[in-house]
Amino acid sequence: MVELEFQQKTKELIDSLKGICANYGLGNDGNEFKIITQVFLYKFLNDKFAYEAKKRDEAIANAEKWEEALAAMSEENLEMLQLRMGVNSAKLKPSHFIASLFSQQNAPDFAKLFDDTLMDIAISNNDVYAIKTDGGAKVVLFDRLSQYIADESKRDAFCRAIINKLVEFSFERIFNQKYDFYATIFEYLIKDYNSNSGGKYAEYYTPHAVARIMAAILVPQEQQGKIKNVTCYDPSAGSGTLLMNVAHAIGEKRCTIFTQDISQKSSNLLRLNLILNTLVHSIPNVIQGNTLLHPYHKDGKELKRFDYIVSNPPFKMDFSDFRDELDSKENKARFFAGIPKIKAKAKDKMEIYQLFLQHIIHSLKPGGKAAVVVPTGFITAQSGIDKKIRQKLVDEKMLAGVVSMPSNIFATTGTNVSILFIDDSNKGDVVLIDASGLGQKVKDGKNQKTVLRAEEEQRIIDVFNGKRAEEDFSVAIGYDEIAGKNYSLSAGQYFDVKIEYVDITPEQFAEKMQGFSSNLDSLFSQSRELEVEIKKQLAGLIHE
Amino acid sequence: MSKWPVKQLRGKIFIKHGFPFKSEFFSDEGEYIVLTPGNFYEEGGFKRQGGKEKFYIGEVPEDYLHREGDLIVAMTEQAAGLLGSCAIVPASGVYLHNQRLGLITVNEKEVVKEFIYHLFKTKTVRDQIRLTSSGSKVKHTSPERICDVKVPLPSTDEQKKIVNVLSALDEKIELNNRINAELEAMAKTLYDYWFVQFDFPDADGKPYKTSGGKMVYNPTLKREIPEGWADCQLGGHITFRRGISYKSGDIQDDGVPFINLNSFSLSGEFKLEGTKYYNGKFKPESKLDAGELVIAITDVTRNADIIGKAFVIPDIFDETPLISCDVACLSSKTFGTAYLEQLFNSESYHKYIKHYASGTLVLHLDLNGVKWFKTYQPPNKLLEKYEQHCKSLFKQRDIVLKENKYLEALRDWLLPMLMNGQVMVK
Repeated sequence: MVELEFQQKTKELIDSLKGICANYGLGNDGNEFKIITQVFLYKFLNDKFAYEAKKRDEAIANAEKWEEALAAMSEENLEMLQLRMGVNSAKLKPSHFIASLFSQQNAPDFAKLFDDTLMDIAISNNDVYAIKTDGGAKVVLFDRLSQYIADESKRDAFCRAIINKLVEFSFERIFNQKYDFYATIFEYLIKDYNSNSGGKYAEYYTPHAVARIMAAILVPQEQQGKIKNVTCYDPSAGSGTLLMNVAHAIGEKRCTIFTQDISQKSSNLLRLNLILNTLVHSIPNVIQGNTLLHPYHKDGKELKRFDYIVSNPPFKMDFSDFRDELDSKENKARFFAGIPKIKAKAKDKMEIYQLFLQHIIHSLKPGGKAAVVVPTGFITAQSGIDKKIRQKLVDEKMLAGVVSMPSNIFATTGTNVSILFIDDSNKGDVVLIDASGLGQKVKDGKNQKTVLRAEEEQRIIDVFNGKRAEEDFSVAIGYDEIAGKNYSLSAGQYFDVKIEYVDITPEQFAEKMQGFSSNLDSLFSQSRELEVEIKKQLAGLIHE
Repeated sequence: MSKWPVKQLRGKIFIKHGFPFKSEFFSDEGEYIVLTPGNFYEEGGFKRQGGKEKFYIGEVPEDYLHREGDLIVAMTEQAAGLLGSCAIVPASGVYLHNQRLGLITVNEKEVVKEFIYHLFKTKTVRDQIRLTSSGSKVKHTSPERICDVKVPLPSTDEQKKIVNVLSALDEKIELNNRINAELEAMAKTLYDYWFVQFDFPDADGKPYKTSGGKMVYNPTLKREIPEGWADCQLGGHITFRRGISYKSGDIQDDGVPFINLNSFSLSGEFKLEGTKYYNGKFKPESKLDAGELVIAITDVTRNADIIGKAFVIPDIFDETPLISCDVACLSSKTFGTAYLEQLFNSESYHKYIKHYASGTLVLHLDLNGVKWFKTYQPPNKLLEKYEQHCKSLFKQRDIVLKENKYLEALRDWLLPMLMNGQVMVK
């Protein structure tokens, strides 16, 4: 009940912030997204600070106004307190608090004060909260938000409106919440900004069902909470849904996350996601940049290798402008199956997922595991790069299996998708699941969408982890058998042919044949009558 | 040109709008079928949508449930040429009268309903409806505008006579289709009895399995088959020939008959109206004789209904036909075409081969799937016997199909002349 109430209040806060933006003419403006996420983050850090401080200092916890109690502390004591709070919260000075800005809202140049305060927070927390680009530049936590209002005379009022919303209710009680709570809030926060609104790069949001299935198969129940000190990687992280699910299955404190994504917006979203999910210690590993061209994470000269990799890479994209650059000597091993050629007529249909998939296979530690969303066409293609990749996975025995999902599981794309599970330690049977018949069709705006029920999700996970063969659903087969079928990973091709037939007695057969015979007799005789009729009718026609 | 007085249809026919059935109640299965412009042939006539029907699971207003014989007209142009197409509803209590379709009733003193059905096939009527249509992308017409249409209109007696001529032809065509359905069902019954149930005639002419013929478990096929029958992969017994890749410009109203994806009905049978005509280049050896087996290797239906299905090319073309690249010709020295046709159109085979189709919107068949199919090889004598049995069925089928081809041509040729009085009925 409490959870729902807070979820509702948090959503209301987000909505009212969007309302303010709209009133100041920023509705649908590209910058609205920055304002909403950064203001939300400011609020979150402020309240989190209070929550952590109260946990450690009774005087603050009991104070009527915690901000005042903190402000009254000596600088030395404040520093001690912050040291004890560690990276769980950002370092804030009393002047950074929302309450402090709130009390100065009528000051002249309030917008400047507002911006300065946020920038100051960003700078004092740069070592932990900044993300890097592959070129080495740092992307700080906050921008000067009021500059997005073109009319300078409106900036003060805008910032005032925002700060007044932020004091309305406290987040402090939400910090007891679990993972799912934040997932919902996060999705709500970014729902308007994560659509495929034209452009080359579409940040499709991976549906929860897909993310959960991937996590539950990569990290089966019995291993959860037992794995320690592992690395998880996503080379096209987007806003990080997949990683959050895997990190949560492993345990947030037991793993370190590494990411790279070309999109600036995604990287910012990902940072927010990490902060919400107590994965602040991984923020320095968030890299904004082109994974294929400039893979950032390295061990010495070699590309870094990881224990777990998850990814939902873009499937098709125009990368003709750097395609030839990839075709280099040092990339020979990484792109072992080849680099898609530039398509003269349809440059935007270049199969970029093939590169991501190869990059992932190359980035896997010996014995490591990966789960990758691929177009279903990948699992049966009879030639080309697709087949070469499958051949390597089968010949080198590094597969766990494949789950072919129902169509329209992603509302945004009509392409059928499958999840490819790579497991370098699996030398036994491979599990192939045809889940294309599962799910319920619902309408999502204009699009058809398929939603998996919780028990269907569980069935996929249980069948896969138990390597079970179920009629018309799954098979568990050896690597040899796959090699014999042109390396096809389509479950259906391995199903037994079933013949459903009810025997009839010789009498029934004779009766049936007799039936045909008499039907035909009657039809033939009607036919003869009609022939006569037609001839009669035709004879009656006169051309005038 | 016309001998009949030209009159407006207003007051002679009445058109009622359909009900706006809500899409949220549309379903893949159910009791009632919502009619759409997809249920009309462009030239007119009711088109069943086997496997593609839109069912309705919401509440049905009584007045909008069709009865057999209802005359309906398409008032929206979902696909080109559909505007003004008429159809006669074939059954009561199943079909729903949807919006954008008009239900036509007539003033019986002035016109005969069946006459209107044929009248709306004429260019005279269609042109008027098309020219007065509105809408930028999808064209619409309305009951009002249809009533404005002017046509040469004879007396009801004359109308009845004309209807009689055309109906006799239509009935014969329909009858022929039923004859073919019976013939096809016969071939299937025999196949199932002999090769699925294994009650083929044994040495004494008795049904094998029922008379205690020995069955042996075959580990490859994971089922019992008659003793002495071997298992095999189809690939060892068949060869493929590919069809011709074509551009849309190669397809015209005349030319070499071109068997293509549209030549397949959902159950795999040959569909005469799907024939196209090819005008591009080809090698003479690409031509196929009647009696050869073709399979569909591309599919655009919702459930991959057609992929892998087969028919034997009927002997009805004036010129030996070609096949398109969406179709492959399959020959076998072991199995006869009638046998393979039944095998490929069987439910169990289709369930198997579907998994070898891949693609997003357009499915393509991996021919390895056909080659890798594991089956049993009945003795040659039995296979020959089955082919013999089917031979006469095929011959009769071809005669009937050919007859239909001529009857349709005759009907389409007569229709406009009957409608404008150029040809009179005595």
